[in-house]
Amino acid sequence: MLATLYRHLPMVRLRVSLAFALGLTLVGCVGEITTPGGDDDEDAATIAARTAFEDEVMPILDGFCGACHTGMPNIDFMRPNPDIRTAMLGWPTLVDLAAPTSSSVLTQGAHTGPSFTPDQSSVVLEWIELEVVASGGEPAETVESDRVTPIQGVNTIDLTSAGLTGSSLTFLYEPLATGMYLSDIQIVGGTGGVHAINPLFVIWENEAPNPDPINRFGNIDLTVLEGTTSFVGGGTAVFVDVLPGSDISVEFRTLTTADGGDGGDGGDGGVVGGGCNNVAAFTSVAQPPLAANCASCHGAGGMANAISATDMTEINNLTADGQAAACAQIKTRTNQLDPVNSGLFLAPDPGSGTAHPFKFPTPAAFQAFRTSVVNWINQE
Amino acid sequence: MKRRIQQLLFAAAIAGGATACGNSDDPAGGDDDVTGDEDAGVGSADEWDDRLGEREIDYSAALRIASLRLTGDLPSLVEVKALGDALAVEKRSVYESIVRGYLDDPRFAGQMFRFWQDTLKLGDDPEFDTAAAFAAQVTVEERPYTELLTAATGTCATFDEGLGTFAAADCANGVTTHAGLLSHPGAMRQYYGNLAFRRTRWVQETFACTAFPAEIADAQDLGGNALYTAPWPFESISGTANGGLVDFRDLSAVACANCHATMNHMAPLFANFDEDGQYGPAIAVLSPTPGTPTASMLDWLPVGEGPAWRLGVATPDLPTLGAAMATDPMISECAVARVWNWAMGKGDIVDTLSTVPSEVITAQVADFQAGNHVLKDAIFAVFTADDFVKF
Repeated sequence: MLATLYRHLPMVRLRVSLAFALGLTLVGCVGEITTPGGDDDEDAATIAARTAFEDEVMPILDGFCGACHTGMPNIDFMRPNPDIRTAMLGWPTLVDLAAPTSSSVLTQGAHTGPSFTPDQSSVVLEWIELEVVASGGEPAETVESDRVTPIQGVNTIDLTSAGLTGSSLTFLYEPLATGMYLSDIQIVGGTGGVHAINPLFVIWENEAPNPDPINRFGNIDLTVLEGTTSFVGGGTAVFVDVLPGSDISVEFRTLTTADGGDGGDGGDGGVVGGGCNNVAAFTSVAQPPLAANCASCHGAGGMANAISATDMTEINNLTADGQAAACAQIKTRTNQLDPVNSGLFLAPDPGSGTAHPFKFPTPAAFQAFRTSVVNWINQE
Repeated sequence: MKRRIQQLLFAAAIAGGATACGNSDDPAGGDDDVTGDEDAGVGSADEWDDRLGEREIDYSAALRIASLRLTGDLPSLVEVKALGDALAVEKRSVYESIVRGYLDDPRFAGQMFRFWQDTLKLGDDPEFDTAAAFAAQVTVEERPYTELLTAATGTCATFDEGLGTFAAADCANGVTTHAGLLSHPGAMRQYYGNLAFRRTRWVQETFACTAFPAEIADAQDLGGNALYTAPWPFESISGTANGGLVDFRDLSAVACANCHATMNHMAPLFANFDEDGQYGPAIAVLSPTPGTPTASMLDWLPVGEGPAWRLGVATPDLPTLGAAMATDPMISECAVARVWNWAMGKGDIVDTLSTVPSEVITAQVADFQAGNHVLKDAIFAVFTADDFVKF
């Protein structure tokens, strides 16, 4: 499977090129390894990591990060000291070799500068995983799900074959004239729950795999506890210029039980990105408007179907656990790449045209609500 | 562009004095505001550039318009959701994919049929509809647009609105070798008139997108009360002096020849179609003079002159006229401009003077010409152009 995928996705290609480079280095270096322009004592894994950094990561950093992070005090992790890679590896929390997906270079999101696209996140994560190997750690292994032929309506990809008994990935499928629309993409936690990193959707046309060209869930690190369900990212995916009804599979960078892997704590209620990064900001700026405008239906004692759609039952529970749970639920309805267009805002937007019992009475009121919540999303 | 403006100025000026030429085929709705618009544009170019620059891409709004134009229906819920949920980096590709779906949708055939009914001003009559059906079939089947001017067979197609399908059929109006719609019986019947000038005007306005005068050169003072502006030699068309029944060389009020220099070289090609659109061996149109005699070649052209599309482009028959038009860049630009106006919700490019500056559609016209004149591709290019998706 991967051998075919290599031809389609830069992220996966990187693995091949690096594996190839690694292999060549190992074969060619019977004697002492010497690296022109590098450290003569570098082993093959380090060469692979450094090559990935220079060839794949630096072009991204140069385009997005260098303007600020090269010279501005306190955030200058790209200052060549002695070189940029070394500086970044030594910067506190920036690159977390114990839990790569928790590296702040990946979790920073939109700040004064832009966030990585999912595909860029994937490239950076790939490099960090090579650094894990270079530092003596174990490489991550991908897991491929079974293929399913989607039917209109609810579809289930059983993850039992991956050793996750009772766990599954579910989605709603609707065909487009020239593509496929998936919504309500969720992971259901079976025995032991699920820890999933970067679920990559693959569309199969005539037995040829077409991985999601933008790897839309490249920045997803999702832990779902046993007996719970959680959306994958924003819960939707659109695949265009593919034959409707084509088979679908999902390849995970990591797929384990919730407690069985590389640092998923399994205790955050089954949420994207390991729960909220900034619960305090949620409580400060997002909780008040959500509680005021949404809780009567979506909150505790509200309407069952509203809670089923978006669960805010903990929104008025101001304990630390309550706010963490509320924040985690709301986060599943946000789009961190495009906060203002988060699904959360679609229903109550008076201009959206969606059928929703509640609409803000004026565009200004809606704007005020959205501005507050986006403030929190940006801090996430 | 400058030439286009000149043409418009002349068209507006001549519309006011057309009755002096003794024919009443002047276009309805001449627009006297053209010069004012042009003057206003000169001093405010920067302001408009700024205003255009303020537009923002809104694929959802564009999808609504595209769906209504291309299918006749609003977008489906799943299309709205798919586009709305698409990540920012993929919105364009999702939008383009949905538009591609519309172009392959059976409903598109119906939309094209109606588009061509409007464009050709031929419809709601079984014979007229075969012209629109042929043009729509060429469009839907991604055949070269130039077939509208050159096809020798299948030009009286039928369209099944229920199924959204076409059936090719040959026209049976006595024409030996057809030239697309230029020899179509419905068009010839609908635009029957004195000296075949209504047919000539229909061909010019439909496929070249400008009213007459079609050719403009430096003005010459030939001693009358109006200047002569056509590039043809003044004596290349008839007047009473050389035996014609109508004095197209009259300069006493307006220069009839400014338009008729081109018109008189084209009109004889349509003269053998009678009022039912049937082609015969003899001229079948009348001259608007006392007794309404059947026209003769001398009424259009003096001895030694022959039919032509433009100065220097002789076209002795309809197939050569169609071939000449097919290679004229003006025809390609007109096709794209008509699609542009349709997409943007404008009226007829000639009737409403909704001209499209050449520089606005340069890329689309170039692709249309380079891509074998496939109008469906031009439609896709227009409906995905920045100008279409920005508001």
